[in-house]
Amino acid sequence: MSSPSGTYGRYLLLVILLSAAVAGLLILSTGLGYVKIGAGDILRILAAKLSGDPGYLAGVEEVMPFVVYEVRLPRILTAVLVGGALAVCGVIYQGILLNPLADPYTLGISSGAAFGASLALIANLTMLGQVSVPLFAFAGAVATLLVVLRLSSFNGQVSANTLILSGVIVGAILAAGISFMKYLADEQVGVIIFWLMGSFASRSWSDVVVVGAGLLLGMGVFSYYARDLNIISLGSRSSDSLGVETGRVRMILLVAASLVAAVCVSVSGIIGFIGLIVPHLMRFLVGPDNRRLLPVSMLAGALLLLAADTFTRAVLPVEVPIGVLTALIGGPFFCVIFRRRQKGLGHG
Amino acid sequence: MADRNLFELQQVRFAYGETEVLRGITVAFPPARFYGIVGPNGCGKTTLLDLLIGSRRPLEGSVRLDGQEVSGCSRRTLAQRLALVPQDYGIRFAFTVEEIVLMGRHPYLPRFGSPGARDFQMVEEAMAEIGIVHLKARCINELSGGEQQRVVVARALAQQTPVLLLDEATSSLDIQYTLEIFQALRQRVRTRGHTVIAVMHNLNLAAAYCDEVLLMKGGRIVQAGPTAEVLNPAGIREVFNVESAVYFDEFSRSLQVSFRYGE
Repeated sequence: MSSPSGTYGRYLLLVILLSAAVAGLLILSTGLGYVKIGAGDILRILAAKLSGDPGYLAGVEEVMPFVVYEVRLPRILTAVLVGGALAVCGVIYQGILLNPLADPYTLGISSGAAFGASLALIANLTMLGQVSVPLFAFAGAVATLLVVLRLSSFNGQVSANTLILSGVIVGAILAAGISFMKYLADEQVGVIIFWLMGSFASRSWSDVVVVGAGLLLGMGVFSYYARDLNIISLGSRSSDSLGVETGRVRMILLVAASLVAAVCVSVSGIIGFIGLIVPHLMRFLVGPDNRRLLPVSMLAGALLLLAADTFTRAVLPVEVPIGVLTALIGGPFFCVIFRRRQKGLGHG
Repeated sequence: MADRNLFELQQVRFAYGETEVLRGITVAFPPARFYGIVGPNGCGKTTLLDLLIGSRRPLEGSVRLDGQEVSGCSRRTLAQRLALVPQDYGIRFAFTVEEIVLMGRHPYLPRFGSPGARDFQMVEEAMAEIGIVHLKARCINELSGGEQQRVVVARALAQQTPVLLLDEATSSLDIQYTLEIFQALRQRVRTRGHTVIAVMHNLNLAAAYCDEVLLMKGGRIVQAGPTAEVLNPAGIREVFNVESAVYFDEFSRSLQVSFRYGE
C-alpha cells in the first residue's frame, strides 16, 4: 500500500498544474463577458499597464484597456483571492477543531458578518460611504469571534467541542436577529438577501488589495505554524508532550484564520463550501500534512471560485449569486466524494 | 554520586473547577527506575502525569524536574527530556505510520528544517523495537486499536528522551505485545538508565516490571515505595476494596497478585 502523501515530485507537479490552471483561467475569464476579448489583446493590455509603455496597445480597441483593467480584473482577482483565502482558512479550522466537517464559518463568523451588514443596510448607514457595509460586516464578524471565544473558554483553556458548540449557538441567535431585520426591512429586504448570497459584482482594486493583504499575512502565519498544526491534530496531550505550545498556537491560528475569513465575507458576502470541500479534495491528493496542504488548497480554492464566478458572470444567461452557485454545485459534489471515500474505507 | 531526584513534588494540589483531583501530593522520583502508578478509576493518575509533563500547572505546591519548576520550562525543552504515551491517541487525519513516528523528532527540528538521516534512522529503530516496520507506509486510521497504540509507543521512543511517561499504554494490546513493550521499556531502564513512569491497571504487570509502585486513592498517595513492600493485601484492600493474596511465583519468577472471585 503506497503512502497517501505521495512523492515530492507528484506534489510539485500538482502545484505547477494548479498554478498554470489558475493563470490560464484568469486570462480566459478576463476575455469572457458581454464584450469578448482575445487572449493576445489581454496580454498586450497587461504588458502596457505593467511596463507603462502604451506601444503595446497598438491595434487594441480603445475601450478594451478600461474593460480589462477597471471592470473585469478587480472582480476576477477578488474572486481568486477570496477562493484561496477561504480554502486555507478551511484547512486551519479543520486542523484546529479536529473536525473534517469544520469550515471558516463554523464559529459563526459568517452570521456575525451578515448581522453587521444587515444592520448597516437596514439602517441605511452610509456615513462611511461605500465601505460602510463591509466595515459593519467585519466588525460583526470580529465581535462574534470574541463572544464565541469568551463563551468557550474555561479555566483559560479552549476545547474544540466547546468552540463548535458556542459557534453554533451564537450563529443561531444571530440568524434569528437577521430574520427579524429582514422582516422589518420591507422593500429593503432584497438588498439584504442579495448581500447574504454573496457576489463579486463591481469589486474594485481596493477590494483586491484588502483581501490580498489578508491572504498574504494569513499564509505567513499559517505556514509558520504548519508543522505545529500537524502535531496539534494528534490531540492536545500528545502535542504538549511533543514540544508544541498547544494552547497558544491554537489561539493564534484560530484568530488569524477568523480574521482572514472575516475580511473575505466582508468583501464578498457569504460563499459556502469552498472552505469545506477544497481542503477535503486536496487531502485526498497530497495527504494530511499541512505544509503541503496549505499551498495546494490555496491554488485549488482560487481556481474553483474563479471558475464558479466566471460561469455565473459570463456563461449563464442570468447571473446567479455566487454563494448559491457554490452551494448548488459544491453540495452534491461533496456528497459524491464523501460516499466514495467511505466506501473506499470499507464503511459503505 | 549523590542520589539526586529526577522529579520532586511538594504539597501539590490540583482541581478542575470545584472538583479537587489531587491534594497533598509529596513524592520524589529518583532516576533510572521503573515506576508504576496504580489506583482505581478517577483517582487522579492521569492528572498527575499531566502535571509531570507540564500540560497542567498545580494550583498549589511545586513540581520540579532536575530542580527546575516544570511550569517554568518551555514545552520544547521538556519534550527533549520527557516523552508521553497518552491514553487518548485518536488520530483523525490520515497520516502514515512513519509520519506519526517522525513527529517524535519534532522537539529537535528547527522551525523550517526537515528531518535528517539521523532522525529517519531513529524513527526506523523505534519502529523496529516495537515491531511495526511492516506497517510504516500504512495510514494510521486503517489500523486496529492495538496497532495504533504501538505506533504511539514507537513515536515516544523516537523522541529519545531519558524519561518516558505512559498512561495505560498497553490497554488495547494482546499479551504478546504487552510483554514485548514492557520488556523493551525495562531494557531501557537497565541498560541506558532511563526512567519509566507508567500508569497501569494490571497489578501483575506492575508486580513483574516495576521497581517502585505508588498506590493512589481519592487524589492522594496512599503508599509509595519498593514494589514488594507496597503491593500487599492490606494496601490493595484499602485502595481497590478487594481481597487479594500476594506471593512469589516460581514460574514467572516475580511477585503475583491473585484475587478472590465471587461465587
